[in-house]
Amino acid sequence: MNNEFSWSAAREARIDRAIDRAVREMMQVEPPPGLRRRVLARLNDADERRASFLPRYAFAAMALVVLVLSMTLLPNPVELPTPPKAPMAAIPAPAPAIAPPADWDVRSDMAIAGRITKQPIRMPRVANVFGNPSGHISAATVDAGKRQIAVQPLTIVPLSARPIVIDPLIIPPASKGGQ
Amino acid sequence: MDQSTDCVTGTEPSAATDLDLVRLAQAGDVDAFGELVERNRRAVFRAALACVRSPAEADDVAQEAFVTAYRKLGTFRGDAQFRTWLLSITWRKAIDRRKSISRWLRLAVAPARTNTGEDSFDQMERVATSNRSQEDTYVDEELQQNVTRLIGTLPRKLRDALLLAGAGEHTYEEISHILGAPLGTVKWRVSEARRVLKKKLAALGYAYE
Repeated sequence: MNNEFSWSAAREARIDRAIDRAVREMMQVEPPPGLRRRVLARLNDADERRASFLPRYAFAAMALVVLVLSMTLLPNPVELPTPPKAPMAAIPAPAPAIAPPADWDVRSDMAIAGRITKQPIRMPRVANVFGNPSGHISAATVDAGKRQIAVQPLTIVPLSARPIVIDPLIIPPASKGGQ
Repeated sequence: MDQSTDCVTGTEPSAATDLDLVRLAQAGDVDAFGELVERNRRAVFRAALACVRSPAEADDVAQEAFVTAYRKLGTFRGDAQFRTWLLSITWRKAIDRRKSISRWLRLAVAPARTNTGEDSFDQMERVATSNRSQEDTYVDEELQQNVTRLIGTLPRKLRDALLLAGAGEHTYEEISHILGAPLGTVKWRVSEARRVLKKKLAALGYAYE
């Protein structure tokens, strides 16, 4: 009985030692040399990088401030410049009054009347838009007062359907043997 | 080996406490922060190693943790120990690294570990071999390999507690603060991790009951 107990205890102790040793081998590792130097180098790099980023951030911030100020300080709405007046042309005769149709909507008429100006619209003088006259005859150079244009009367031929002629269908008699 | 002296070896002796150095670093003294790095580098590295389980990644995490600590040094009021505050930052960084998609992708495409490869646990074994005691030489190599493999299959909470406790750099109180779990819970997790390991070893034929 004592032998069995001691044997079991010895096996358990052996396994305990194996576990301890395995954990020790996994964990009791020395850190690579130069950790302090590498950490301090990273700190210096980070400081230098931050210092190089600072002017960029400052420039971006200034650009943003300028943009915001320009948007807030500009007058709103912006008035557009008035176009130059057209040269005075011949005053055309006023258009003849036309009576509105019977189904004319009075309300829309009044609304439109509010938008219609009473000043006459002056159009610029229209010069010869076709350029210098040439020897060729064209529609623009025809002088209707001196020359007469002879227009041949059109001959209208009534359309008629052509008769359809169908030839008589002749079926030859079948010969013997089906041929 | 005395762990308390081991923690501050590798640097010129300095009578200043961590809090003194923190005050100097807060005033812009980078050398004072360098001294803090030197004093805590092993604890930080091993805390990161317990989480990411790769010395190369643990080194990256340790660097990130120190840089983050330097940037956040203004928020450190001295209510807790600087070392505990630093280890909490380290653990958060390590957890972020462990969860990162890029790490999973890198592990997925990485070739399987071979005896000739420059793998993390090969490096660990080389270091540990030099410290192997006479008693350890009696332990079966096959059993050792199985234990190492089975630790990787433990649930994360149990594994983290077991590895942090086995790192030899952190007290249970520190581990409790790092993991954000009560002290009793941390002790239970370590004990439970060992129990689960023994159970799995028993299933492999290494009976202990």
